[in-house]
Amino acid sequence: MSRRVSNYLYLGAIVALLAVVVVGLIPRDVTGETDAERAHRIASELRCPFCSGESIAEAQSSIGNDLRALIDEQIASGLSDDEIFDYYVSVYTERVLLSPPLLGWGLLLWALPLLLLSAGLYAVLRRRRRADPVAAVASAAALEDAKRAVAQDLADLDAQAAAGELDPATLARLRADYESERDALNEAVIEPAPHAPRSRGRTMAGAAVLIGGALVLTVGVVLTVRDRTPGDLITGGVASEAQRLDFSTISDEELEATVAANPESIPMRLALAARYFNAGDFSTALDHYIEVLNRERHPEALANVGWMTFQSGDSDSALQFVEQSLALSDELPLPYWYLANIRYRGYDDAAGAVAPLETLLTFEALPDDFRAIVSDLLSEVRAAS
Amino acid sequence: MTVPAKRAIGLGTWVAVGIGLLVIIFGAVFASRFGRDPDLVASPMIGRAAPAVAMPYLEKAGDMSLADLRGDIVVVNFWASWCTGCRTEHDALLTAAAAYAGSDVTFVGILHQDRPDTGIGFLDDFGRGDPYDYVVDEGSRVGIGFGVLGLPQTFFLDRAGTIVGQVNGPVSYGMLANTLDAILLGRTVDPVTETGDLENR
Repeated sequence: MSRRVSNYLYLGAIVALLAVVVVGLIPRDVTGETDAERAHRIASELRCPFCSGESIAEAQSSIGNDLRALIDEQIASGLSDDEIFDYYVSVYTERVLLSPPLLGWGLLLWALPLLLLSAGLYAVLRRRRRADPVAAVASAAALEDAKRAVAQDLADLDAQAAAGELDPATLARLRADYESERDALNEAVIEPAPHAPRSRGRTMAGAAVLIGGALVLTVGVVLTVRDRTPGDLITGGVASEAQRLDFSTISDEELEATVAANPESIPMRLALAARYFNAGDFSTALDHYIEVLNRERHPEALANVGWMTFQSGDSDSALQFVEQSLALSDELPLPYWYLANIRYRGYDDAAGAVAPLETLLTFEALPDDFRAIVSDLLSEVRAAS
Repeated sequence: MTVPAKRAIGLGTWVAVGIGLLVIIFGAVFASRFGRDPDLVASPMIGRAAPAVAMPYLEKAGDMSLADLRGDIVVVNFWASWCTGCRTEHDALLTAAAAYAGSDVTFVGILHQDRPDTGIGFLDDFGRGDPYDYVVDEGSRVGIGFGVLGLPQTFFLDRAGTIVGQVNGPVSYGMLANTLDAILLGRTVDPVTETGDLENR
C-alpha cells in the first residue's frame, strides 16, 4: 500500500472517531420525554455530593434516594432544567455538575485538548516545512560528490576528445550536458540552519530552571506527603477514627451497634474485638478479627488470632500468624510475648524464646506487673536452654 | 556554499523541556494538595438565608422551621447516631446551649440521614441539651438546602436568619463561645472553619 493511501486511511480513521465522539455529545432530542426520563437525565448529570464520584442517578445511598425524590418534586412543581441545575450549583457549587460548565476554568478544561491538538498540528507542519539539518548536511556532502563526478566526466571527455575517440556531434552534445549539470550544481545552495547554536549562558539558564524546579518539587512533596493511615484516602478524605474517639468511654452494646453501622471501620472493630479477646470470649473476638483481616492484614489482629490458635492447640498455624504480624510491624509488644510462649511451650524451644523476650523488655510502655512476668519467664527460659 | 556548522535546538528539545516543566508544575500543584480534603471548598452558604423548611420534632409532636427563630441567634447542628465526630462534639454543644440560654441563642440539633429511634438512643446515651430543639431532617431537605456534605456540620445564623458562620467537623466549646460572642457583639465571624473530616454513611 502506498504511503499516500495509508495516510488517507489514518486520516479517515481519525475523522470517523471524532465523528463518533461529536455525535455522542450532541444533546439527544429531549422533547417528548416523560417526567421520569427527565428526572433520570437530570440526576445523571449531577454528581452525588458525597458518594465518591457517582451521579445522583447511580447513587445507592439513602442521600441518593433523597436527592432523586427532591428532583422528582422539583420537576412536578414545574421548574425548568436550568432552574433545577442552578439550585444544586447554588448549594453544592459547580462541583456538582458532572460536565464542567463552558465558563472560567471549565472552559479551559474543554479547550485544553483542542489547544494541545492545534499545537501538535502546528509543530508537525512546521517541522515538515523546515529543512531538516541532518538532511541538509547529507545533501551538502552529496552535492560535493556530484560536483566532483561532473568535473571528472568533463576531464574524461577532454581526454577522449584529445585522443580523437568521439565524433564532434557526440562530443558537443555530451559537453553541453555535463556543463549544464555543472552549472546547476554550482548554483545549488544549502540552506543554513535556521537557528544559531545555543549559547553557553542559555544552556546554563535552562539547566538552572530544570534543576530548581525539580528541587522545589522534591521539597514540596517531602514536606506535604504524610503517612497513610488504615482506611485513609490518599488525599486525606477519611481520618482514622482512633484519633478522635476514646473507645473506653463507650459501652459494649454501643460499640457493637456502631461497628454494625460502620462495618468498614477497622479501628472500632479492633477495639471491639480486643474487648472480647481480653474477656476471654475468643469465638466472638475471632469473628471480628476475621472481619478485620478480610479488609486489611492488621498486625494486632494477626497476633491475637495467632494467640487464640495457640490456645486451641495448633502451634504451627499460631506461629505463622504471629510471625506474619511481626513481619508487618515490630511496634507492638504482645506479638513478642506470643512468639516466646509459642516457641517455649509449643515447641519446647527455650533458646528460641530468649530473643523475643529480650526485645519485649526493651518496650518502655510495659505495665510493671507484666514486665515482672516477662522477666521471670526470661530467667526460666535462660535456665532451660 | 554553506554547510550548517552545528545543530540548532530542535523541536524535540523544546517539547521535552515543555513536558518537563508541565510535570514539575502539575507535580507541585498535586503535592501541595496532599494534606487537603478535596471535598472541602469555600462554602457558598455564607450570607444566604437559612432554608425555611418545616421539620418535625424528634421527641414531641409538632414541627418547627428555622424561619420561626428570626430574632434569635441560632446554632444549627447536623448530627446522626452513626457519626463519631458527633460524639466528640456532643458535650461542647450541650455546655454551650446551657451557657448561652439567657442570651437569645437557640440551639437546633437536626438529625440528618438517620432514623428517629437510633437518634433518640444516641441522646439517651450521651444526654440532651437544655434548652435544645431536636428535629428530624425528613428526606434530607434541610441538609440539602444547607449544602451539607457530611457530618458533623454546624451553622451559625444571625438574628435576621442569615448564615454567617459554618464549622465542618466537630466543634469545641471554645469555638462555639467565640463565634456566639462575636455575633452577640456584632463583630464579624470566621465564615468557614474546618476542624476535621466530614463523615458519610
